[in-house]
Amino acid sequence: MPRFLTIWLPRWPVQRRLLAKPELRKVPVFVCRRERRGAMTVVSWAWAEPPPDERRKRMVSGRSGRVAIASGMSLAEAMAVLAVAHGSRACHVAEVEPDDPVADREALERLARWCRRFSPTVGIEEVADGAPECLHLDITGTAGFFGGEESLARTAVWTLAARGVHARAAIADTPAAAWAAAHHTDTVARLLHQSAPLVVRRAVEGSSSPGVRLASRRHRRWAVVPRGEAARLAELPIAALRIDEATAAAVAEVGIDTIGGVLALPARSLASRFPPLLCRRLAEFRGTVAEPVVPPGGEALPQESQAFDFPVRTVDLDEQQLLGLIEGLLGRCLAPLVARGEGVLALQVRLEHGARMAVAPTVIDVGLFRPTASRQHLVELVRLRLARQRLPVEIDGVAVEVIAAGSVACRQRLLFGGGVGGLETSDADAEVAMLLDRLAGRLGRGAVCEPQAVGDAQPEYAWIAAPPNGRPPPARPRQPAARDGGRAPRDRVSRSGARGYAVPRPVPASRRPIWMPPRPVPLDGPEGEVMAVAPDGPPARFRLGDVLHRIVQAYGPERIETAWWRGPTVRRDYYVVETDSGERFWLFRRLRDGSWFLHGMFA
Amino acid sequence: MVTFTTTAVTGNGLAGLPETALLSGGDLLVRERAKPVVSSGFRPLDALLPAGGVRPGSLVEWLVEGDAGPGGGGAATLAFAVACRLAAASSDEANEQARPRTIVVVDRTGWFHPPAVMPWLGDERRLVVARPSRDDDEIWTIDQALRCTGVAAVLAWPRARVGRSTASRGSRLGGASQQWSTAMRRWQLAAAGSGAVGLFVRPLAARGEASWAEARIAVSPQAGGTLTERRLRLTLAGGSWSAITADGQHAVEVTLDLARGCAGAPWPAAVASRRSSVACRAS
Repeated sequence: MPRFLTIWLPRWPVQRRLLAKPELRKVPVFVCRRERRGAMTVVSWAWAEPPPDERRKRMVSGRSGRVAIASGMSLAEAMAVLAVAHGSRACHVAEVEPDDPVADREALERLARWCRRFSPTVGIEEVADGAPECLHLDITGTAGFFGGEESLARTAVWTLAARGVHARAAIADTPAAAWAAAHHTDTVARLLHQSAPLVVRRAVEGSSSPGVRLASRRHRRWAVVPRGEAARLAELPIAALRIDEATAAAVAEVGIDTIGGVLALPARSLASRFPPLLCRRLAEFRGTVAEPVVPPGGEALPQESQAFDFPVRTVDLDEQQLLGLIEGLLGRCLAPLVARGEGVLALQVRLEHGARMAVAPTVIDVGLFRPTASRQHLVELVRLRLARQRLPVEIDGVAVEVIAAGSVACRQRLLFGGGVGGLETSDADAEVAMLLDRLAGRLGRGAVCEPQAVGDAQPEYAWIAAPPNGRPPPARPRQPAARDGGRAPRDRVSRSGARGYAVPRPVPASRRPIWMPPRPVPLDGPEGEVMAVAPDGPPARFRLGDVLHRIVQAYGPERIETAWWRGPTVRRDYYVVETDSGERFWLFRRLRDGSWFLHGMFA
Repeated sequence: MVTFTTTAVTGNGLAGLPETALLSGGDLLVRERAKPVVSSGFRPLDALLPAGGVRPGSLVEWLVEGDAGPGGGGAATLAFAVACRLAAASSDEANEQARPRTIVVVDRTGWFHPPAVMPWLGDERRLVVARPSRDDDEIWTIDQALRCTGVAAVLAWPRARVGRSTASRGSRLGGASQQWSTAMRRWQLAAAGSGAVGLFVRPLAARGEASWAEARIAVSPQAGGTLTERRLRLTLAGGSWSAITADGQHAVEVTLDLARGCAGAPWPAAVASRRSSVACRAS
């Protein structure tokens, strides 16, 4: 019996933008479509890191605890709902992005190619209108490589989470059933838990082990419907059958609101009383009508593989031999790309060893910050990853697949050279790009960044570690337009505020330390002590560890009062202090309780 | 296991050796001194440096008091200002279309705060921060950055750990001295091949270790100054060229403009003496 895995990527248009611009996670993001008369309609929206103010959110949306903004709502209406939930200032910091379904689709296709590590057949769901948000994987016979279906679903969810993609997954007999289960993993987990043997239920419910509780909580993000038991999904709402609103309303008129209710009706009455879409969806749900998983169209990216006649032990395989084999496959992949003027942006090397040992292939992902067609550079990146990879005992074959490609910038060389020290500027940029790829290949993509300033008054959030993707630096924080001819809104005391709302004045570099601990170091405990002459005055001396510093100069205070949207308001008085030895430190007093902290060193 | 390879020097056996290995000490010195020198942006510092400035492809160590990192002495700030000058100089010398080269900061501690120096950069894309998590990764990262011809300067504070006790750090320094020397030799060769400059902030206690840096400069902060200006006293504390200073000057004082990342006006002695009492200046 075939088995299918459906991966649901909730609010994919917003997720795609958050992946490209991580700084948007702190603000509400609306993806809107402009209608004929200029009105903006919300396609999708999300606030990845909202303020922890659940009480007000629940006041708006009732039990769900979520702000009730639905797709298709006008932007003005959505802003009103957001303002009620989080205050009017949340609307000022919100980002409105134009809808781009083509780019959403392309990004989803790239992700589908990336998901070929789980199954060779990966398709994107077909939707009549709107943007697709699901991937269907035919996992018939492949789940055993990952330790079972449960393990496969868990691996898929957490591997995507490691890439910054929020996903839910479900496995069932048909794509329709898997789609329904993926959209209601919480309910499915509860249904399956109720039908589990009593001993198992008691073991989970009565366990005091945090590991067991954690596992049961994590279970909500994936679900596995046992073979031949799609009827367990009978309690799911009728919308889980992927029917449109009109059909759902027609079914609701006769008092049926679950899949089980529709399944109980005779097939003849269904065909005569409801639109044909419902019958087709039910047939797909039952599996009487096949729903093929079609890989994404478009020009296929190259993929090459070589299988060995017999398994090769890795201890007998020299690194150079393996790299030579990969280089050969890579050359064959690059040939069609170079003919199109493209280069590799993401690469996947798979060491196949699952034929006899029933384990998943060892996957080596190589990501680049800009496309390249240099075979040597790509082999070097693969070598860096191989050095840190635990290789399998035996290898049955090697596969190289281009996951993403992009246009390579071509430029005519100067006849007499030029640039820095005989190195042309674009060559220097290319050298830096290759360096970034190498650093990211060994240290990880998160360990290499290009700092970008953001308009946040709180020093901890004054910059973001943007991935160095070679694009031009982002525009500076925009000045909010004055509404109704009035003044632009400002923050309460300081010229600080959230991004895009009350733009702070540029802080002089002399006021910020070059060394800042991730968290302020308290100076009221064993690690330090501060003495000030006046209760609200500057510090006179402080002790850091065993060293007592006498302050001869103090500049300040610089009051920072901001970040109400992130939780408790941050209220601090900062001082740049200079000690008798000439060293400079950055201290602040927390206005809430008067305690002192060390927040930086002018190293 | 180390393998030694012997080569018979017969006929043209010298052809495989680097050219610099064939030069005598005096010839090598003359040739190295003939190479172009980039000003550090601070005239007193240029006078202190053996070559009269920063030589592309060299290493410079900045030694600071304390053993838990740069502290509050201003050495890292000064080193970054020099790095900015090096990056800007690489574009000045080229045509107008050329863009500044990149500054790489290797920040093992994770304490580097870019907003303090980002206003000094005309183009934010010149600054790249790498955060290795292990010793060998840190050495490798510095080596790779110094090998890159698109990099103007690499700023790092190797083995500057936060929160380590003095005793444990001292024993660690002593035990890994050979590793440090080997790594630094690698860095020197990498920098010489690309023209990048390595700027390393290290504790003063490392002064006794062998070094491949062209200059080792001890940085000690001076009291006084203003919010936007900082006075630092620089002392030549060693280096491969330490014995051949131009005029025998071994200690200078520089004023660093913190707002622009360049040299400030020299600080009058009379003004400096007035600033000894505790004062609070409203911002």
